[in-house]
Amino acid sequence: MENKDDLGRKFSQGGEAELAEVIEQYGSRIFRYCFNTVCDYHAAEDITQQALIKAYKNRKSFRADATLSTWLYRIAYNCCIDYIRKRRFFLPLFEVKETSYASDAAEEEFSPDVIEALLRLTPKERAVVYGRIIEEKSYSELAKISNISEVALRKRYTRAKQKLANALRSSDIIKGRLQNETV
Amino acid sequence: MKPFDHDEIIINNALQNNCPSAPELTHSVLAKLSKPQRKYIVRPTRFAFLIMAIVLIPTITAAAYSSYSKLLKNVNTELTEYLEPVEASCESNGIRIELIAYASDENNLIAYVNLEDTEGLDRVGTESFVIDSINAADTTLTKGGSSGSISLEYYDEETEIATYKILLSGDLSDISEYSISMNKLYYDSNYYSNVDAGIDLSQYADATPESQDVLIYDARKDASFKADYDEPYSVIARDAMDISISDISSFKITNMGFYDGKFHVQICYDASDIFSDHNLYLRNSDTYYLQPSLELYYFSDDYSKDYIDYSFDITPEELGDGSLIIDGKESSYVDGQWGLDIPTNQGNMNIKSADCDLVVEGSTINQIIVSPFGVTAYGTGTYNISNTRAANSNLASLNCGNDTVKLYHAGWSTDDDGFRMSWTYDESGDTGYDNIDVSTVDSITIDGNIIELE
Repeated sequence: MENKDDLGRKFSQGGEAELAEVIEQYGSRIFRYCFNTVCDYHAAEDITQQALIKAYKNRKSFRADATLSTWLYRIAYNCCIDYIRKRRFFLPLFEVKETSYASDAAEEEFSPDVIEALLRLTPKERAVVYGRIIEEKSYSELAKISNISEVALRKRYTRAKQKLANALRSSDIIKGRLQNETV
Repeated sequence: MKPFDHDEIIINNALQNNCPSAPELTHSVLAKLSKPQRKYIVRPTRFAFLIMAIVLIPTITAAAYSSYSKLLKNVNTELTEYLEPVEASCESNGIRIELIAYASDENNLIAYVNLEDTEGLDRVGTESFVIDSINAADTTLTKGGSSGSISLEYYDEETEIATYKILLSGDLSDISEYSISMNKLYYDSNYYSNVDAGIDLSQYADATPESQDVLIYDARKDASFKADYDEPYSVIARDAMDISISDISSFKITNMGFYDGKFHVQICYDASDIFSDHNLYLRNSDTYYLQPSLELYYFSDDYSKDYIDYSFDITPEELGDGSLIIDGKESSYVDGQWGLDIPTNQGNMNIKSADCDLVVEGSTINQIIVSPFGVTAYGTGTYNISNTRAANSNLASLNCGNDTVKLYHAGWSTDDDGFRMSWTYDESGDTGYDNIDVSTVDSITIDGNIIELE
């Protein structure tokens, strides 16, 4: 398997073939990261495409000593936050529903209860919790992705984690699971 | 990565099943890339603006740099590593305040300001705590307060400039600039602590003063007391006594005794140029040290005098031969409008932290962060730690190899997410703001529990 650092170097100097390789390697993961951050399937799809295009256009600025994964996630994170900001700005005009997360194709692949619990967090909190627990990224990498200090990141993570865990505990999905376990 | 804790396991289980299949991306991204892209033209006005911006970038002047250099010579040398020079000043009613340096992390901001009396009236001096309180964002900082403090760092007799240190404690993680403002500066201040008023309270155990109805303008101490400022309240009658207290010139005791089941002490401030702020307590060396349960503030009928009615929950029998104790201060003052924006750099300081689940007096601490400036503990529940316990310097300490660094409680605050409790490495923040090399810290001991830091 190709070393990820090599892929970063190739990508920064390459063209669409190397982009395709990057998408192959990171596309799905970045999409899921975006989905869990914005809680909207179609928006996550758009954001992921936008982030990958942005990365491609700015590939020359990718430094060889940086990590491609961190760099891509940071672009994706910024795209998510930009999307949320713009949506918030237009919300009063167009009445976009916060819970328009579903897609027909993906509807059965996630739980509305989990989404409801996720929506109790801010997008920044969702991003850090997903990055830490599912992506198993270090605090230091997540701090770089979120462009905040490690202290602020740890603080954000700890609080977000507890908020989400509490929300999940009170949701039907966890209650149901706990009941099944006790039966 | 360390093993998941219970919360993380719950989240992991939920989110692992919350990942819809990713859409087809390669084709769609490449297709979008192949679309013709719109070209943007940078207009000349933007260049002009850019050039102007570069030319107008503020620089530190020689005078400001001189102030900064002097500061570095006079402050704790350990701190200089983090201080950044800055130039900003304001002046009102003959008092000039100049910001000369600052440093911060996510929880602490330290700034040094020079104060100068440009009218030469000696209002800025070594013995005066010229800044008594600062309005900073949505809070008010007071000397020795829980969210910040102001203290005199040094005084240059030659230039008659006093350098003050401002410490702010709070969540600064999302703040790039901290605005502070002041509208009253104090000088020639006299602070009183535990002054015995010299009154034999047993003489007042049988006193039942007359009452009168007044309109109050403020009520303090009892959060459950819902003041109605349009309805009269019965208080003990004004000016039934005239008791002066030695060393305190700004107020007198004007009535005392039991009314409505409580012991009341009424004091009166004469309108004057002296600012006065005092707290009254009842103390009996053997049995009690009692704070008032309610303070009501009202005027004389002609609004020329201020009164405060302090009521204490104590019976005549319990009162015994107790004493009336006074804390507070009296100052001359100058009104004005001063304001400064202090940047926060939140640079790449070394920190160590630990997630934990430590219960202290019913408050659960979930996270601890150690920075060169101090230690901050976070909890998501309610804050129940008593001031006495928090102020106990044995509550927390850092373990650095074979050395132990004592921690001094600097304050606490709460918000929607929980509470935050902070410690500094310097007792009361008055004698310098020591910082430590975080890399030497191995663990923290809180309430006898050792927590490893990473």
